[in-house]
Amino acid sequence: MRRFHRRLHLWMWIALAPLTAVGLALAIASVPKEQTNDLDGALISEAP
Amino acid sequence: MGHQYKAVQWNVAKIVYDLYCLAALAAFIGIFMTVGLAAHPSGHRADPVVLLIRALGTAAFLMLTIVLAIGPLARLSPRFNPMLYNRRHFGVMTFLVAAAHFGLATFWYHASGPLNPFVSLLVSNPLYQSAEGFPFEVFGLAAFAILFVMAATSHDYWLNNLSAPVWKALHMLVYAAFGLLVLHVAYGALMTEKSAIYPALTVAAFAIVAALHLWTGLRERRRDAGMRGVSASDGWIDVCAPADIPDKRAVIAPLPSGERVAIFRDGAKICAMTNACRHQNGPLGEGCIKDGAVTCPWHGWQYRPEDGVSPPPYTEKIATYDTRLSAGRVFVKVRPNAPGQRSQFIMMGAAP
Repeated sequence: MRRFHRRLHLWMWIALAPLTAVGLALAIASVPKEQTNDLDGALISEAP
Repeated sequence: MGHQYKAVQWNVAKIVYDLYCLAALAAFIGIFMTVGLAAHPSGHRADPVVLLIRALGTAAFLMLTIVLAIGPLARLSPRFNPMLYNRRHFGVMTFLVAAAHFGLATFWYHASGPLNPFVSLLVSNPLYQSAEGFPFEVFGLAAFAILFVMAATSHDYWLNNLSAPVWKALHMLVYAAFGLLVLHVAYGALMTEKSAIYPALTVAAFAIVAALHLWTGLRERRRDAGMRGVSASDGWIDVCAPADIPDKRAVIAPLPSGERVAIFRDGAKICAMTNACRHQNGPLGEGCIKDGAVTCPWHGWQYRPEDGVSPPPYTEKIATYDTRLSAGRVFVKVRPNAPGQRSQFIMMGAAP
């Protein structure tokens, strides 16, 4: 690869990797917990 | 090599490779659907269309992960070069699988309402402030748009018309597509998935691809940094001793301009040329000399070592560099010759 492409490749990953990692971590942290509700919708139990 | 345009550059090896890929894809979707139907809780019938949408999406994600791992793996070991040779077909196949996922999901979930399915895809979920209910479709749509551009411009027609540097830079957008696809999976499938396998696979795929690219990228930067000590005050740089160059192979040296030069030895002959192949700017110096011609490790494009011209019937030309032997060292002239110009080269054992 030419120098321009080597630099572009590295800088794209330096920018992309943390952005995607943060987005991925936020998504995994926001996964709704499994809940059991009674017929009125009141919470009976929630997965840990 | 591109002395004439063909609709798609297929040969027997590529057809066999494509058939293997199609068979693996069909097996993956078959297994995914069978396991999905069997694993569904008893009393609840799994929807085969929804399972197919998931199977296609999972296949596209895994295929893009493999496509993106091939490049850095080939940089780390030449054993992966055959995968690089077939990467473009696999990339187009990835787009087609993604297109099937996109089409099926859009019409399955958005075609029954009063809105146009594509409009419905964009406006049906406005929860942009919520992580849990975020409209993950926009990530997938953006990734799909990039993959479409990649697939549409994958042919050598576009490579020739855009030029290798522009084409290569354009195709680096695929990294952004991968990031968007990771988020599409994270805010879509992972939100309703009870099994830990999906999050683990998504994190592993992202971590492997990102680590491979960052590792090879930083390694290339270290190599570039090593060139700063090279002196070129007289227009020549000291590269190595002749014995440092393996026969039929090359030593790659950085130039003060930041570009790289490949110095090949073919028996007693030592020649230098640009390290960037005319085709996709592949690293010529990591290739070898076959049948008297320097052969690119990526797609097999060939050039004569003395003048950088492709053997007939091909007509491609690359820049060469003059070389000279002084005090038992190989020197390369910093300024390149015009593409196709016969260079001044070293003949070992010849009178000075």
